Amino acid sequence: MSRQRISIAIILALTVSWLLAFGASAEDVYSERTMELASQLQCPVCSGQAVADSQVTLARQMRDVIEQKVQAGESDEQIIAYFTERYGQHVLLDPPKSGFNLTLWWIPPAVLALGGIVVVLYMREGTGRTRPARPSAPLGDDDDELESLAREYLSPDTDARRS
Amino acid sequence: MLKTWNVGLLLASFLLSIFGTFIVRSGLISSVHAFALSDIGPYFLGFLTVMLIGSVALLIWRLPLMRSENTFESVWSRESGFLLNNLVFTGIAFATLWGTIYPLITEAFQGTAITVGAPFYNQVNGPLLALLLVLMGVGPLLAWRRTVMTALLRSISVSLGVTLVCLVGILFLFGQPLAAIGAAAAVFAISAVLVEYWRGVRLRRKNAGDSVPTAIYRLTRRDPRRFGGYIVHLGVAIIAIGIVGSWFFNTERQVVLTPGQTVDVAGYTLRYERLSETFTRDARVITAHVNVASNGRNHGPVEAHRYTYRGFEDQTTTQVGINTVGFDDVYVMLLEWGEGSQAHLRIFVNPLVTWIWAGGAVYLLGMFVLFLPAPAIAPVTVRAATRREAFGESTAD
Repeated sequence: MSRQRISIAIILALTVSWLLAFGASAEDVYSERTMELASQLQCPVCSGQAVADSQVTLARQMRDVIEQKVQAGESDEQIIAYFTERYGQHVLLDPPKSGFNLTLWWIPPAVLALGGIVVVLYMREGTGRTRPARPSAPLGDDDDELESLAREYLSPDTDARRS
Repeated sequence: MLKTWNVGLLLASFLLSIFGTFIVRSGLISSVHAFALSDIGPYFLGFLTVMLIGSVALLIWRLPLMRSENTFESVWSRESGFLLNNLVFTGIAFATLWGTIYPLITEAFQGTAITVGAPFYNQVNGPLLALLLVLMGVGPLLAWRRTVMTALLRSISVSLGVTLVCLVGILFLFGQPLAAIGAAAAVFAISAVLVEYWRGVRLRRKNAGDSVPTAIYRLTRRDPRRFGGYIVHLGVAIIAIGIVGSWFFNTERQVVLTPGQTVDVAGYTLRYERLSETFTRDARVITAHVNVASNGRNHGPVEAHRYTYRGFEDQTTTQVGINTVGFDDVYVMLLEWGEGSQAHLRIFVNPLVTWIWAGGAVYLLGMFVLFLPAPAIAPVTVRAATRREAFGESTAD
C-alpha cells in the first residue's frame, strides 16, 4: 500500500475506535453502593417497596440524595441514620436486631426448636416399645439385591396402612 | 400422631388463607399486596372466628378416629422423615405468619410500627428451605418402619460424594458460600432420586433384561406413588437451583442511553435503538427498543414499555421487556425518557431462570405420574425363609 493509503487507514481506524469508545461508554446512573443502600430502605409512601425499586417521585428523590451523599463520602451508617431521623424506624426494610426486635428474629427458631423437642420425645416414646423377638442382624451386602427386590415387589409405597 | 398433624396442617392452611384475605382487605397491614380499605373487615373477622372454632371442634371430636395403629419403630425410617418434614413446613408457615403480624405487635407494645421486609424472610425461611432440600435427599433412601443401615450408608455416600464435589466446585469457581450451600442441597436431593432410580433400573436389567429407558418406564408405571413423588422432588430441586442462580448471581445496571449507545451487562451487549410512541384504546405507550447480543451473536430485540392511561397522566406503569437467552433472562425496564430520545433503563441479567420453568414442567410431570392408577401387585414367589429374614416375623401386608 502507498504511504498515503496507510495514513488514511490509520486515521480512519482511530476515528472509528474513538467513536466506538464514546458510543460504547454508558455512565451508570447510580453507583452500586447507592443501589445497595436504596434496597435497605423502604419508600415511605409506597407499601413495602424498596427505594431501589419504586418509581414514585419521592423514591427517585431519595435515590438522588443517597447518590449525592455517597459521592460526598459519607459512610453507610450516616446515610441510613439521615433517613431514620426524618422518617422513623419504619423506613428500614430490615429492622435493627436490638431490643424488642430480637423477638422478631428469635421466636421462629425457638418455636422450631420446641417442635423439634416434641418430635424427638414422640420418637423416643415410640421406639421404647421394641418387640424382643425381632431379629437384630441386618441383612448383609450380598442380600441387598434380594432386599431391593422384596422392597419393590412386596411393599409398594402406599400410604393407607401408615399412620 | 402424623395423621392428626396432617389434618391440623390442612385446617391451618384453610384458616391462614382466610386470615390473609382478611389482612389485605381490611387495611390492617400496609403492603404492596393490600388493596382495599373497605368495611368488610369485621365480617371477615367474624367468619374467621367461626371457622377457627368449627375446625378445632371438628378435630377434637374426630380425634379418636385418627389414632394410628402402628407404633413408631425407628428413628431411621420414612415415618420419622415425614415427621421432620412436617416440622420444617410448620416452621416455615409460622415464621411467615410471625413476620406478617409482627408490625401489629410492635405497634401494640411500642407504639411505633416497624417494617418487616424481604431480608427477614430470606434469613429465616432460606435456611429452612435448604433444610427441606436436604430432607428430600435423605427421605427417598429411607425405608418404611426400619431402614437397613448398610444399604442407607451406601446410597448416602454416593449422594454425599456428588454433593461435596458440587459444593467445593461452586465455592472454588464463584466463591459465594450461601449459593454453594443452596445449590449443594439441591444436588443432594437430585442425587437421592437418581440413586433410587439406579437401584431399581439395575435390578430390572438384571432380572427382566429391560433396557434402561424401558426399566425407568416400567418402574414408574408399577409404583406411581413412589416414583411420582421422586419426580416431584426432582422438579423442586431443579427450581431451587434456578432460584439460587437468579438470586445470587444476577447483575443489575441503571444507565442513561442515547439511541445507538450500547451497554455491557454480564457478558451481554445491549444496544438501545430508539424510542417509539403508540396509542391503545386507553393509553399512550412509550416503548424503548433494545437489541441484545453476546459474543457477536444477535439474540433479538427486547422492548420495555411505559403506559400512561387516560385520566391518570401523572402515574405511569411499567411493562418489563424480557428476552430469554439460553438459561438467562435479560430483563429491561424503561424508567424515564428525555429530549433527544434519551432513555433511562434499568437492566437485569438473571441467570438460570429457565431452570425455574423447566423445574416446574418436571413437577407437573411428577404430579401427572402420581395420578396414574397403580397396577395390581404381581405375585412373586419368594422362599418363606428369605421373606422372614427380609421382614422380621411377618410381612407388611
